[in-house]
Amino acid sequence: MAKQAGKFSWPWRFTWQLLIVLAVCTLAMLVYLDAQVRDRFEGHRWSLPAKVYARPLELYIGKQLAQGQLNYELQQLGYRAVKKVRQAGQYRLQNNQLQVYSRGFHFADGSQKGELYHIQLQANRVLSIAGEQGQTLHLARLEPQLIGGIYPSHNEDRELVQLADLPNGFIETLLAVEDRGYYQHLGVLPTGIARAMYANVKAGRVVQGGSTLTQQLVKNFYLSDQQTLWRKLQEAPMALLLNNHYSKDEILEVYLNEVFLGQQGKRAIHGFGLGSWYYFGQPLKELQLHQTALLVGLIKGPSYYNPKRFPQRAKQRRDLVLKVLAEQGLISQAQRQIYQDKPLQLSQVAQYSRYPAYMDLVRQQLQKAYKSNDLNSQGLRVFTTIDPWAQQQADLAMQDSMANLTQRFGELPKLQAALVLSQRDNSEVLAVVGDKDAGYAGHNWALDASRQVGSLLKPVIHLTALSSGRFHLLSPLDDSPLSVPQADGSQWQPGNYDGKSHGVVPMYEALVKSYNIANVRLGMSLGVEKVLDQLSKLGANQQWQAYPSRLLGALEMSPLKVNQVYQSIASNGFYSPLSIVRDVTQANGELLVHYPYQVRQAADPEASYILQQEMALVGRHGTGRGAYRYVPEHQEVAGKTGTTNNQRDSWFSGFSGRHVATVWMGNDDASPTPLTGASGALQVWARLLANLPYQKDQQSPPVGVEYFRTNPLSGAIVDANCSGLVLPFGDLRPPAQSRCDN
Amino acid sequence: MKDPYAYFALFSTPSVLALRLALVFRHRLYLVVLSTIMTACASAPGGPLVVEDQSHSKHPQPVKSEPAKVMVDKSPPSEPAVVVELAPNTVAQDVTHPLPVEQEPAYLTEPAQAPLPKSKTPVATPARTLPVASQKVVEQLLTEADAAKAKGHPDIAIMKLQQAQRISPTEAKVYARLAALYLAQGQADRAEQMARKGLTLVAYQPAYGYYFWRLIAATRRYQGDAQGEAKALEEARQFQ
Repeated sequence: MAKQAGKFSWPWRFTWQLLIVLAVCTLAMLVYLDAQVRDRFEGHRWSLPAKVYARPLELYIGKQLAQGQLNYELQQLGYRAVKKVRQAGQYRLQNNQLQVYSRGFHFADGSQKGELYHIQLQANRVLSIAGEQGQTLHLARLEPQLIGGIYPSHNEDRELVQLADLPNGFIETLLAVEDRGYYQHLGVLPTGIARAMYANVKAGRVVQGGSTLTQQLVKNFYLSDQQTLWRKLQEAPMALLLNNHYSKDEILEVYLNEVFLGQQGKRAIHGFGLGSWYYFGQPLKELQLHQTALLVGLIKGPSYYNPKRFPQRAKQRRDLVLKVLAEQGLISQAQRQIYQDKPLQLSQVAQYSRYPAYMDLVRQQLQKAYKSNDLNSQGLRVFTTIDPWAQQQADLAMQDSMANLTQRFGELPKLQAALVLSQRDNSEVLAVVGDKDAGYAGHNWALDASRQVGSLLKPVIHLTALSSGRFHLLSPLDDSPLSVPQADGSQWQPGNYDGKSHGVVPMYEALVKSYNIANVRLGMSLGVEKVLDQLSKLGANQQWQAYPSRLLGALEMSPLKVNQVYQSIASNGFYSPLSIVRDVTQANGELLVHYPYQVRQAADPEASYILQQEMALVGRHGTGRGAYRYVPEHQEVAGKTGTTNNQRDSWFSGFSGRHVATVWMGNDDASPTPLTGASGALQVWARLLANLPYQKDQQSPPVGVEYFRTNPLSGAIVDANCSGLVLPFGDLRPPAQSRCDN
Repeated sequence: MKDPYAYFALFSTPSVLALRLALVFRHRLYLVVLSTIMTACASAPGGPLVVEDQSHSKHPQPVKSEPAKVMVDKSPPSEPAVVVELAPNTVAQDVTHPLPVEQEPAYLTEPAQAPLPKSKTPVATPARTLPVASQKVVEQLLTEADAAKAKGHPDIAIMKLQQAQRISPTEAKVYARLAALYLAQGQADRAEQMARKGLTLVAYQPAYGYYFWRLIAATRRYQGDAQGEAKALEEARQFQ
């Protein structure tokens, strides 16, 4: 035995043992790496942020559509104007003739193929729609614009693509630049590694990686991005294993979606799918070769070659890629020249974070129903109600009004503002501005400001009065001085804005001229509690202690809530919660939830209808008259101004055609401003409503409401042939008189 | 009878055929009810609006004209259903086409362009001008909604109806479908509220006034509110 042992001296034995241990360790490591490679590759590869979409543009015959809006929408969607429309994402608009080739899209209500539409416009309306074969269509729908995402903490974002989604020449370009032998090698290229090692040894540190695409994928997908030896040691075997387990095409597809292509603030742009949207505002499939060349060129250094920051450097890199393509015979020299002469053609559309205030609302609604982990990892698709064109008009109206106020009053550093715009018919929120700087993502004043509403409360008093069956629009109200004893023994003496009292006035005039005293008397005769109860039902959804001063709006609400209340008035007393999200689907398009349109009767429909007409008089003859500086005369403006004590808050809320909007202005510390409701908020409101498509309110009066010609001075219904104000009445009507005059 | 649509089918159907189908084809009641509701919607034609020129009358008159009386289904709820055996092939045919061919939709003949009394001023003119073309898209969407519902996708049907409502928000018919769909889903309260909303749009469409009140009666019956049901039926009668 001793002799036997002597045959192998201890160093040999040790070496053997060491080798065995090493072999076992290597094997274990390979098994471990193999499991890792397969696990990640076959499992849930990425956390996908929820994608948030705007409402799609629906085109139907009779739809109002100005060319300005059409151009804007197409530009936002990344459609290219061409002479002849051949493929998805192209359009031609000339002499009111629009040809547009829509992209396919998976809507919440089903999948829709890309289609060529021939649309005839006339006088800012859609006159006809025809399909590719000339067949008449009633409805065409463009895909919705992506407006944002809901991210996990690491902020990686991507838009998954498949090999079939690639434009012509994409793979050739990618492989020519990054890995010429991709389809031949085994995942690693020994010559490449040797070359890299030589360079590293020469430099005394790791300066080069001889990476194949497979290795790059392993590095990004599985390993940390530190250039350590240990990582390097893992990289090659993992690349071999990956190559062994999966087809070249499978690996390539994952690579296409993993690659890092840029950074937008905190958001990391991964994959060519998103890269294409981020840089060009178009889907990958629509890219031309010079655009493909730029994207591929970016892999080498997305920040160094960032085309948005260093366009010159990026162009050089792109041209180098084109040169490589020409050298390898993939394109001719002539083609190379043509592409080199093209500009970078970067998208001018700022993607994402454009609508911070609106996104706040989206998040708020989603967080009620979803865990944040589901929102930022499952790739949910969220279909919202935002109307990008209306939002753009809202931003501009705010911007212009602010500039105008600065001109009139000098710098107003503390002044803040907010705006909410909704669809009258279904309570969908179309636009939100949460700050005087429309794109600023900070405090959201539309949502979070809680300010006194002032005279905005008066329509609620009138609604309560009209619903009581005791008042009609000509009911006489007393506007003489009033003194109300308070609980503490003091007297409250409300005054009018002009400092005068106006004797006996018809009810509608008390609203039109916003007389405080007459309205307080009216409210007190109804009961303050009743008025507040009506306010709550309309959507304020809150209880206040009933003080007489509440009747002059001494209670706080956010612009969003005010809009909710006015929305209910505008829809005949039916409360319908303001809606932000229409549907949520899974990443694969499967419907998760649809938020249905729902209504609840919150006020008497006839009284609400009559109130709407009364509020239209505020626009025609009262404190809202200033709106017609911007809004065309034929357009109805029904609303109410609000100005609180010492002009701390300036409000206007109202509706016109099919829109309801609320604007608030005030200092961030609630100090006095130089603005009234009419000189501040109304200006923004009117600028906005003047630029939105106007469609006359089409409702007929509810059953039970009838119009009569009246003589407001005598407070009587007169013959239909007389001149005089035509007013709607319910069951309670003023007496009739046979003469026209008093 | 706790089944909301069975009740509704029994009382609102203008067509005896639907009742026969209901009895013969109980297991396909869903389709039958759909057919019934469709028929109820479709059989509410709007006659031409009678507009009286009241500008010469001595006494002050409402500026608004009288809504036209429209033919509606007036079969009393208690009418006994006649059960007749149908030849198998007849039934098969009817079930394959559960949606009766719609008659001229009510609003196509509505008084959109009716002359208005001379005394009206712009402030007082109740607008009733549905763009002719959007009617077609609304019809298309209603058909798509019906198809989605028939395929067992009520969510998609609701989406289609909401799309129609966005395009033509004053169209009573859309609210009628939405309310019927909610009721079919057992959401009685939501259905009643939708019908109430619809009722604000029926000044020129009394047929829908009748329909909405009948539907409200059905929702109340479903909720076991006999008194409320009687009240709703009383209201419905006023539209007859």
